[in-house]
Amino acid sequence: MSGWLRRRTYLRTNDRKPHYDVVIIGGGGHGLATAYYLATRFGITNVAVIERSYIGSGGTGRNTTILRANYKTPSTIKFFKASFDLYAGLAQELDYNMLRSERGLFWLAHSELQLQNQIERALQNQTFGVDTVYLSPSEIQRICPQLDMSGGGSRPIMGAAYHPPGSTIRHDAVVWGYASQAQRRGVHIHQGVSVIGVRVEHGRCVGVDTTAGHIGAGAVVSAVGGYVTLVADMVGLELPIITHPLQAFVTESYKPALDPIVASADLHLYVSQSARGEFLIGAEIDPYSSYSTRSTFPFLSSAAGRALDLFPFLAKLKILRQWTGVCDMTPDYSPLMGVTPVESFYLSSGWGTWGFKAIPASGVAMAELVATGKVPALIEAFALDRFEKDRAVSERASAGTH
Amino acid sequence: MPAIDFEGRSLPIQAGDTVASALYRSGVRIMSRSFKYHRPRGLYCVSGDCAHCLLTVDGEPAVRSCVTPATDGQRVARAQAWPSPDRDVLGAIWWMRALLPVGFYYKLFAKPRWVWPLAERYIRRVAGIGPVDITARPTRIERVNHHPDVVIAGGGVAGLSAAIHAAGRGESVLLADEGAIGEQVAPGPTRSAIDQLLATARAERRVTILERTRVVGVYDGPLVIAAADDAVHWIHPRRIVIATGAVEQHAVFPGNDLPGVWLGRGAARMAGVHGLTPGATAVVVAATTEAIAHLETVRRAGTVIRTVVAPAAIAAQLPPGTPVAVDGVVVEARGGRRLRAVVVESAAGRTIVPCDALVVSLGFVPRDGLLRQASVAIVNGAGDVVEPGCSVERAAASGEAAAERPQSAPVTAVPGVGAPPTGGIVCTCEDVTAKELAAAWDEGYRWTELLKRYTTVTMGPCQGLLCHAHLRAFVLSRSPSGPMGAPTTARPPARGLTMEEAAAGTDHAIEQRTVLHDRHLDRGARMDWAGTWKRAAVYGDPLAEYWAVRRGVSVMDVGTLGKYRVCGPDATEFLDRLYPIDVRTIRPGRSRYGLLLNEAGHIFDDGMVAAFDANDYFVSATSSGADAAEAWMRDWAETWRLRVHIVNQTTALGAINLAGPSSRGLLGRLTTDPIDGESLPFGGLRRIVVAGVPCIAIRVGFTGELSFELHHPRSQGVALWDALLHAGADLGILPHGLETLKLLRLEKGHILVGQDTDFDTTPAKIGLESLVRMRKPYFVGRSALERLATRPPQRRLVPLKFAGAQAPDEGAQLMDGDRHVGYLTSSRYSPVLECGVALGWVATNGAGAPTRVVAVSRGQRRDAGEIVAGPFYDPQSVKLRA
Repeated sequence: MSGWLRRRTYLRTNDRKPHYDVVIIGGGGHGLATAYYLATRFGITNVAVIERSYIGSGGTGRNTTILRANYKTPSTIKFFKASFDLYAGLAQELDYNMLRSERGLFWLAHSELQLQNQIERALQNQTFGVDTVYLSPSEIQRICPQLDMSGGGSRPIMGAAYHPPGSTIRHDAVVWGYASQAQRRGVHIHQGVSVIGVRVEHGRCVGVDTTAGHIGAGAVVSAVGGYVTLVADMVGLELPIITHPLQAFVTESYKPALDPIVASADLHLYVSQSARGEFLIGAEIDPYSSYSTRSTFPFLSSAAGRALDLFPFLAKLKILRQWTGVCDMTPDYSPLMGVTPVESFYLSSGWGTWGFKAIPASGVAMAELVATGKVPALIEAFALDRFEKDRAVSERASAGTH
Repeated sequence: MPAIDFEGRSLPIQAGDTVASALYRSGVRIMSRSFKYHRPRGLYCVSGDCAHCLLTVDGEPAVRSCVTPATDGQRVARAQAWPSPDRDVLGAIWWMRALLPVGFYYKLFAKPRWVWPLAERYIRRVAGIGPVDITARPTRIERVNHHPDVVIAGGGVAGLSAAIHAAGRGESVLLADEGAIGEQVAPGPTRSAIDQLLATARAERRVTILERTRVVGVYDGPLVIAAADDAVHWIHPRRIVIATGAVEQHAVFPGNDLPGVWLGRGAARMAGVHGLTPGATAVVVAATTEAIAHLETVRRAGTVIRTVVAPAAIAAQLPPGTPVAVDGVVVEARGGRRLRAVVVESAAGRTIVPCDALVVSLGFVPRDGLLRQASVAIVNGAGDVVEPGCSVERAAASGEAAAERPQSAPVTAVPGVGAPPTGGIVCTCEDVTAKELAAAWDEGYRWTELLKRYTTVTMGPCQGLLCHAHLRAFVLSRSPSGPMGAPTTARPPARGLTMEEAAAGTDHAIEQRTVLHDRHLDRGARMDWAGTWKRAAVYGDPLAEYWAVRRGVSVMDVGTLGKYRVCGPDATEFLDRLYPIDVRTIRPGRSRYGLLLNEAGHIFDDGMVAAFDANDYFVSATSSGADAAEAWMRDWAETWRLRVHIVNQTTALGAINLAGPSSRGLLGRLTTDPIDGESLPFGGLRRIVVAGVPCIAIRVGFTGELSFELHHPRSQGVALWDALLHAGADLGILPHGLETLKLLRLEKGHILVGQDTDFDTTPAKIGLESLVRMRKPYFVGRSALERLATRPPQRRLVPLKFAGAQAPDEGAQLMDGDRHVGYLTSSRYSPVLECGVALGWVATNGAGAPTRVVAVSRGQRRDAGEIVAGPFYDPQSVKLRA
């Protein structure tokens, strides 16, 4: 707890070197975590992270900061549980408080189909050591009396999967914590530099061309979110990914009125209140594909309406701002991680709507992959070639919200 | 005498009062306590821009009281502070701020692990600008659509001039202003111009003026949103003019946020509009010509001017005898809970001027949130928002020009960047000081966006209107080039929009009902959602419903099924390409069950394909998948350019399934048409008249019993339903709901698409290879299935049996010893088989699945089960074919 008054430099400006052992494209949580674990766990410090804007400006800085492990396939439950556990001790490891807050997370069902879905979620989570229980309407009401159990009169709440460890964390702090500690170990971060080409010679990736010139690399990792299809194009790789916008909004800051995080599978919506007092509301991806981060009013209107069905007391609260991120959606809603047909070009991608939760585990796994050349068991299931092998990891039942 | 209730005190109000002016008149000086340091805050901008005067009004938290009209009986309160906002003990935080450096919560509570959860509890309690009333409920707010040629945001000189000009060209105009036009402008040349223009605009029939209506967003489309108390306006214009004016530049120096420090226009408004002095004695900073008028307004209201701090050019225009500090600078404001003195530096030296008001007019910052949000090229700015501080004449000309340009690039002012702040509070919403910005920069957060996110500068209720320019000035002073000083993104909404206003007019709960809906309710049915439909789940006694189907006769409302007439010269060709079954061999008068596959060979819907005649079909789809199925059919019909009509009959036709061993006997009582096993065999289709209602009867088999699906004109559904129930009374007829159907079909081993299937389910994975004719040269999904045939499935959907009087949960996890092998998608106790029956996904590892598993249900209940060959009930379908 000591030392908070000490002046310290957290982020540095680095001079570019002509060649690095590893170049990571994308200075979001995934890229920075990969760099950090390369340096700390594998002693590879000659690493550069290249970010076209400022660090954390993409999906990491736009997501709604929910941590959970209550996924729906054995592979994803194991992976996200590993990530959740790493997050739990991350503030101490990085000596950077991330305002992590365990709130408990509801996944409400308003229909028979979703009820069954949530029971299955609870039972499967328990099988893999994740704390999720099924709750009846009266149990839900006891823990969260603010909920309108009639769902605005038309969508009565029939039950829920409740995940007590469900947490929130400050997204920017995750970025800055990783960036700061990676830099202390020698990693370079270049902000405001765009990658405009990826160089491949004899089937092997040898570096990147950027707006600041060529940078050679022993290995290149794409940790790009939202626009990964454009980066994959640079090496002639066609990914099974479609990009969709995902919107969210936040109210002004109010006194504490809601502890748990509440998501509804049928209404495709979730609500939480941050430590600062803002209510954070998100919903499903936009139904059309686009790279645009323009916000729309029909989204705001519809999501606000659904939020009032769950929490009528939000009626008079003021909306402070809305924003939009873009998500790389795979056919099965699970990530694409690992090796590619291009030697020494690695992918951490397809994070859809829940990349933020994956940052620590993805960072460790990608670092191990790049350092050892072997695909870690934790991410084997997420290989790029799984679709042609008919081994999809179906997370679609989780209905792409957060 | 009209009065408001302020924290239990009754305060009188006068005509034209805002909530803030009423409070101020009664001596309230501290309007709120600040977000972080709990510093006292008084009135400052008096234009609805800053967050100093946010109050709870009639239960609505964080209301901008300086622009909210006071009304008799209003309940007004400040946010809680202990013991009161006037004397808040947490104000001491300011004096401990050295212990709370910028981003302290990131640094202070990292270790040990238990510290932060404790600290968080406290921080959550003290954060937040207003209390939330948990019992609040939404009020109904109307949504109104408008389609004017021109929409104008702002009813000042520029906005009104634009409106009059556009109307003069014959265009329809909608002008919205967040207040009553002119009411907040102190008497003077600007006010006179507004009054005159307003009278002209009101006389124009093409101009619609919406007052007390805030324009909150300019979206792509274009769609402009404006909110008033009782309605939210969705405006779809051809062109947009933004004339939202400017706010006076927020002054940053030590003590700049003390109660008693005013922006010039704010002080002038209090004096000129409400007749209230900003203080007994004042120092005035006058760097704009407009400030000279403010000086007079304030003086006339009774304030004694101690000193005017002004550049030489302005000083020369001041009335003779005015005490002036030429080219001076205010370097500090002093005081505790309110302003006591101002420190002025000038060529004459440093003087401390005792006073209780400081009125600051330094320049103008455009209120340009809407302009910066807009991406459409049909938006023009007009007046102060593009030429901050412009004259009345310029504003009028600019408004006319903005109305004139039919298509032009957006006109946006490049916000001027002044000197970087060195001391004082930069962001009063979030309590970010100039020192904190500098400290954050030194820690490495060297980008406007990083500083914003780290210090939270610009992130409060004013969304950076007052402080964004200072943030940029700060960054550009340290990093003059490069992307680091780029403006932050302006995000909607630009002005406070409540949740209920945003939600106005949303009809997200579309509920579809069949014509028999009331009949179900009369029988006490529990209705459940199925997609957008409401369907009867159960009528009371599920077991009685079940036995009625299995041993007697029963009816079910299946009017929700997707129903399509598909005909035309290429209808057979079309359906044969669409379905993996052999459509060509369906003879007229017969039907066949088919799966719908996507290109990947994955099942996404199922239904019947029934042939009336050559190239004339009746096709059904699932209740919740019907819309997708129809879109799918139409897409392919277009793609293949086949001559085919697809007629949606889902709501035109009702459907009742008559099921049970006695169903034929009952039907015979109501029809003279042949319905025997020869004339209408299993799978058959026939037009018959039942109780006077023309029906398409199809012999289907979802329940596993002899059944007749009767499709009929919706208008006659109730008559048919009543006739069947009446005629079957002596047979013990009962209707059955979805719950019973789920059990019946499970006993028969039928899948429910969506419940038993996943997104990547192929026919082979669920044992329905027989429904795929790979011999056909083409059908949608064929090439994918061909390729997948070389890949043994990793898992299969299999039937399972469980002993005991209770079936495992749907969703139960399947274990083979310690190994997790799958889960159940459907599970019910079968009364007729006296055991649990289920469908579940089981891992095959490419070869055989385990034959025995244990299902783990809620409460750690474990049931041993075995994988069997289906179907469970009537495996030879003898009953079905009766």
